[in-house]
Amino acid sequence: MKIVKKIIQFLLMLILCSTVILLIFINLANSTIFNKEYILEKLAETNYYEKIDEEITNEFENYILQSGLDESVLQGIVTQEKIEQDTKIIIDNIYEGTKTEISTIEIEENIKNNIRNTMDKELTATQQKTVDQYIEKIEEQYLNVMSHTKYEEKIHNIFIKIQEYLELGKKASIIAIAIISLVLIISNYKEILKAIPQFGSVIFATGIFCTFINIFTNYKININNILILNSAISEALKSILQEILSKLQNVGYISIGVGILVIILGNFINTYIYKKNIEEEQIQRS
Amino acid sequence: MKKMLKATINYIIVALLIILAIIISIYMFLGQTIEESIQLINQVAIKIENTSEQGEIKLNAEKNRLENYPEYGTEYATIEIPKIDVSLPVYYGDTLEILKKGVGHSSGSYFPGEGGSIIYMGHNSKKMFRRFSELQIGNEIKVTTDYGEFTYKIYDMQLINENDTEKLPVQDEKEILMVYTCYPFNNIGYTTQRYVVYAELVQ
Repeated sequence: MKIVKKIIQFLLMLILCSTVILLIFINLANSTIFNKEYILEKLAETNYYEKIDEEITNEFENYILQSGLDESVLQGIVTQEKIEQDTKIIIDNIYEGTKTEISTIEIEENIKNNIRNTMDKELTATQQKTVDQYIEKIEEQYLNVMSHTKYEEKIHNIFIKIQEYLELGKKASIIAIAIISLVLIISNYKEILKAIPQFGSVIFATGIFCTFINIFTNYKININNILILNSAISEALKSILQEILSKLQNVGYISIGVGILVIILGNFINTYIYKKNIEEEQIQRS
Repeated sequence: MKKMLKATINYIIVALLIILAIIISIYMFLGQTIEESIQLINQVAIKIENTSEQGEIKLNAEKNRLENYPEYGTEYATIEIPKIDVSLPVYYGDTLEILKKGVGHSSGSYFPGEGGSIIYMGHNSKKMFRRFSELQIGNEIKVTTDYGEFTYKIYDMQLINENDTEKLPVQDEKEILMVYTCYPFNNIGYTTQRYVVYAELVQ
């Protein structure tokens, strides 16, 4: 009977630990990847807009060599403010489901003005046609660098679904934690205080798991060498992942510490009560 | 005290057993998915640092193939066209970044000495191929690599559209060097045509 009770308590602790870990990951996801303000903050922190500005300038320069136009034609056609504005449009499209398109009218006007200022004479009809094609290419390059995906709406829909599941998971976890904790306490029947080191064990196990995930991820994936699409996006992604793992590590270390303390405290209290009971029995016998 | 220590150790062991049970459960149900995802991430999103030394590039005359190939993006040859005073570095690869520095070598074509189609491209700027229109049939193009010098003689010139890949056929029966640039040469704006020079290996 005692063994059955121990097995049931072990299973309850296992499920409790799993739901606590789930809740930690849900909160981590909600506060980072699925948090628009956090993403915008990270982009600013990693100098994303300056790097994209450089990327765009490089892309434009590639086209100047074969265009026959002076390099000054591309000066000042895209400002960092525009890049920031357009990045926010993309982020809003993904996180809020807005369907705003990035405008390239400003770029077109700026290039046309620059060409007019650098050319000695009026362009012929043929030249105007090729210049118009050139401007279209430049606009295309800008849009390619700014938004590597035409699937912002699809990504938004996926995000919404994931967020719904996360919200459901969060509520379910909280309810499960409450119920399992109650059942664990009740399962200790006449020795309720024995539940304290059991909770300590769960917290300690959670800490070990978080630390394990951190070590495992760093071992399997070389996050410092992430390269996806361009260096600006890679740096931002790297920073986000490193912060997530760092938060997980901190939760792990704190949980390990708190877990050990709660186990020791629980055992101390139980040992004290046990000794007191023995003393009282001895007094009663005598 | 001993009893307390023993109890503490017991609870720590229980915690470790809980972790083991969770990890085994995750591995059993999601192990393959996790491994495949990690492999995919490492293939697609992680830049591999090349710590191995580049082997010497040599031409295996029997097999008509290079023994080691240049790393993508590296300079491996020089192209000289005496008729138009061109002497430019050749890079393996055809990205816009490479074309800024010199002549690009299409990664889908063969290398000099391999007996197949070699496709080079360069901008029509003054520093590069602006004077392509002055080339005539019989003019020579020399490509100097670490593993040998190759001389080609021009036998044809054609104007093609930018998407006309049939006019740049990749074959392995005869060594043909095809060099192209944007056309018109003095164009202002975006060019949709390419001026291609075809040359066959003579030495």
